Amino acid sequence: MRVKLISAALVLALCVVFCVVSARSVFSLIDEASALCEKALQAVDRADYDEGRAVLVNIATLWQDAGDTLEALTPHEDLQAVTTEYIEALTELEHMDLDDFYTSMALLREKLRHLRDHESLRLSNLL
Amino acid sequence: MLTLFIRAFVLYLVMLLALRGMGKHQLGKFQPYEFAMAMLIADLVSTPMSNVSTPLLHGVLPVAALFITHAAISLICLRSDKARAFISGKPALLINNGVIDRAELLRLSLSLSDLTEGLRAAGLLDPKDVGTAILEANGLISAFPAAASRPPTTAELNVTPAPEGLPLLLILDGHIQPHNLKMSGRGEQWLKDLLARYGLSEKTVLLASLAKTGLLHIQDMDGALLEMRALTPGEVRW
Repeated sequence: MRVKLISAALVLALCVVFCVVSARSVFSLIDEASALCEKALQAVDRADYDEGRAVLVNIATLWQDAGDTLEALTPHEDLQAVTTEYIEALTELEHMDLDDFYTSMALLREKLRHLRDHESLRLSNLL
Repeated sequence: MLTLFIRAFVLYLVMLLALRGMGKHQLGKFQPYEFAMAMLIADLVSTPMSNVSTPLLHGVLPVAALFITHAAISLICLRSDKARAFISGKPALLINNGVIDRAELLRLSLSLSDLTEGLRAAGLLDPKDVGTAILEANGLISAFPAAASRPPTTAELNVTPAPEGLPLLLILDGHIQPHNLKMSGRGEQWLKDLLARYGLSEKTVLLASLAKTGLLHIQDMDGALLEMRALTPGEVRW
């Protein structure tokens, strides 16, 4: 029984550490991507389309760099949905299709928010 | 495809470790909480095993959580009788002094067919031969014959039984078992010399078992049986 309790305590400690570290890394990444989304929208609002494109490329780089970590922590479908949206937003901005760009950006922000909500420890998630 | 193969391999190991960590109860007689745990583990592991889009950790972490819960429940059950009775249930007396407790059967929603089936599983064909029957917390029926229906014990017959206990398997399929040989208090050379006296070597022996009486029973690879005195009763120490 003693061995069992020690191993259970060890597993518990590992799980807690892992959950905290994983939540923090996912949240910080999503927050960074969300902030970049805002920045891109503000740039396009100012009609600074080059800046908007550059920020969207930054989002793409950020997302691709963190791909391996995110794939180990969150469902791949959710990650793929975010990827699809920023690629669409970038393409639409390059073609100056601003209505669709704003739609894609709204969807992108929503999907990032969904990812964050999914990982949050909230009563609604628990229930 | 290779990913699926490796994930299945990893998850199987995780499940095996978790079940092993939960103890031997898990593999045989289930308590209610152990049964729930075993069902959940199988389900939790199956999704990430078959779906590459689901992170492996989504299977591993819940299994770890179940392992921790199981350890906590086991500890609570060990420390508190009340908690054990609540979590695992209490044994129920179904037959006492040969009389079936009908009210208890009704309370447990057990039919007489269930009872007689349990009695047969316990080796008692006729309910009138049963002195005591208990429905254990794990759902199994333990039954004991009435005093008039059970065979007499050696103590009642005033007979001194021959020593009995765990025989040591010294050779299995041509391989000496060092742990068992050590338990017998003898060395490998002793066994080889003993076999050599009968024209045998360990490679030609399929099974050699040393009984508490000190007799060594051997079956060789050709199926021939042999029995020899290996130890005097005084030399038997395990």
